[in-house]
Amino acid sequence: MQEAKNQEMLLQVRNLRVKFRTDKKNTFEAVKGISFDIPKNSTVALVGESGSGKSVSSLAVMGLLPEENTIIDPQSSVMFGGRNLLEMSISERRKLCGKEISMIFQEPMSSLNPVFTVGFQLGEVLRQHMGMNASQARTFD
Amino acid sequence: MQAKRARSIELLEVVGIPDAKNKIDAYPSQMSGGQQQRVMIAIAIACEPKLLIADEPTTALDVTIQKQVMDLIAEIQKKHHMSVVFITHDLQLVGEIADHVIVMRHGDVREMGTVKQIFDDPQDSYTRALLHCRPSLDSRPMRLPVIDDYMRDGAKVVEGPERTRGYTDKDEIVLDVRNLGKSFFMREGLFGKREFKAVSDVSFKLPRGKTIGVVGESGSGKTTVGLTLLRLHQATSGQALFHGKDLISMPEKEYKDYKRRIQIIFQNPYASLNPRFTVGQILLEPMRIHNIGADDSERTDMAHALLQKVGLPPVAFYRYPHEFSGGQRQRIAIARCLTMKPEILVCDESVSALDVSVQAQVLNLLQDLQDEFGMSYIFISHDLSVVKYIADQVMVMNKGKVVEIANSDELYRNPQDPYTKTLLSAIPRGFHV
Repeated sequence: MQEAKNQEMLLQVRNLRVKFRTDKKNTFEAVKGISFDIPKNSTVALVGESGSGKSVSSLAVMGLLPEENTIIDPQSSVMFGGRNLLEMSISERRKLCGKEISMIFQEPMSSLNPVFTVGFQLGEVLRQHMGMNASQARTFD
Repeated sequence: MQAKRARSIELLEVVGIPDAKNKIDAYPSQMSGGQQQRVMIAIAIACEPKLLIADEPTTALDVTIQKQVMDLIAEIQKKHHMSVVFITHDLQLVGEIADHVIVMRHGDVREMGTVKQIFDDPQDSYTRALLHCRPSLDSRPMRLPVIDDYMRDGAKVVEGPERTRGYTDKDEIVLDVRNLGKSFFMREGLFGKREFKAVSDVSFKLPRGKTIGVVGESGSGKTTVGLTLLRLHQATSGQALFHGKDLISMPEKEYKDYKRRIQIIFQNPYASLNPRFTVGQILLEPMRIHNIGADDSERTDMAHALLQKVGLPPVAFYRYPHEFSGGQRQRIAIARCLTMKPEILVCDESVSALDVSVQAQVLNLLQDLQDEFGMSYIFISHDLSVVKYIADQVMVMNKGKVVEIANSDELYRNPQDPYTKTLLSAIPRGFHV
């Protein structure tokens, strides 16, 4: 990414290495120490076939990998706004995810909750992150 | 509460949900797939994030809806100066919107660069393979290149002769479908019923050794056509003449002899193979039912020969479906059809769920089998590039009706119907266009 060097970086992934415990002894290395940058105000495509580690990398950025069987290498870092996401506490990360970093999944049918209206599900995000109530109106431009 | 609700309505409007004021109280099941994905996008951008990660957001959607969602993400990105990470297996798709591309394989980065570098001057052999293994709209090689062709050291892929497609006057017609119709009835009120025409007035001809492609969005009735021909649905009207005999009206007893000769490969190889059967049992069962082969030892020999034909090792015979990858399972499903030596094979989205590299392998296999046995295919797909590659004639369906039918080269070059034009313009064409 030669041209990208002049740009300001939003997210910097360094040496990301993710392993999964498959049983007591064995692990499977899904992401093998990758580094990449996401410049501000740009679209970056992560392309690969199934098993390439593209989804695992993004789930690592979001902190959505199952804790019990995931090992993220201590050398790995994901820098966002001057801080390493991988070193944050869970509660700090929760504040960030959904607000500063958010995600769209593949299957809309399975990622929306079928028993709530869409308005409720939208409102949930606003309530959670914006502390929105009647007095704090915000407009979207 | 008011502000939150107002903001929610605003967000739904931003992502292009019509009638947002009322739709806000809708449940997800009351919306179409495209609208649901729009709601997901609305939720994701609700707090104006700096970074949006989109993991295959359009894979489950129709091609025209896919284009709308892609355009929407690009528009929101520009408007709010966000960064977007777009995760996909389809390089052509991101060519249109990405600034940078990172190509990954087996947990490693193979290549990264600006979209121009990746498309114009790819350095890595895997990137080149990904770019070329997808059937393109411009050329139709005799065989599709597969990833391995590029990954071998010093491999050079030579451009072979092009394959010509299309029906000719000399073709021997195997299947002649006339005015096929299928209606479903829904109860309404106490005694009333309402008719829903899933398929109406569909006519086409299928010659020996040729392929007809059936394209259309979900709900267009393309799958219903396939299922009706196999009598998995009872047709409401019309005829399907197979060597002059009407498959639709013949009695069940007589149809039994014809069952063998027209077979189907389904979309999802994970659901269409019995998990309790070994591959051997899967292959032997239809042969026993249709009395193919004298005894089980002869059938076993035939099954082994078929496994070899579809490129699976002999040991596969003793294994269970879950031990195989998606592409391998689809080969097992193909082998199962081949046990009955069918004359017509209905392929219902048979390669849609497969990875780019595996897709090319399965398409090559289908083509080889057609060349060798002269089978005819009814190839149902929403993927217009694949259909252009494999089909001699293409039938475009919309809302249960045929809107256009023509030889594939002709149809892609000079579409007549406005709906066909919309479909064709929604095909992702990579970086250059």
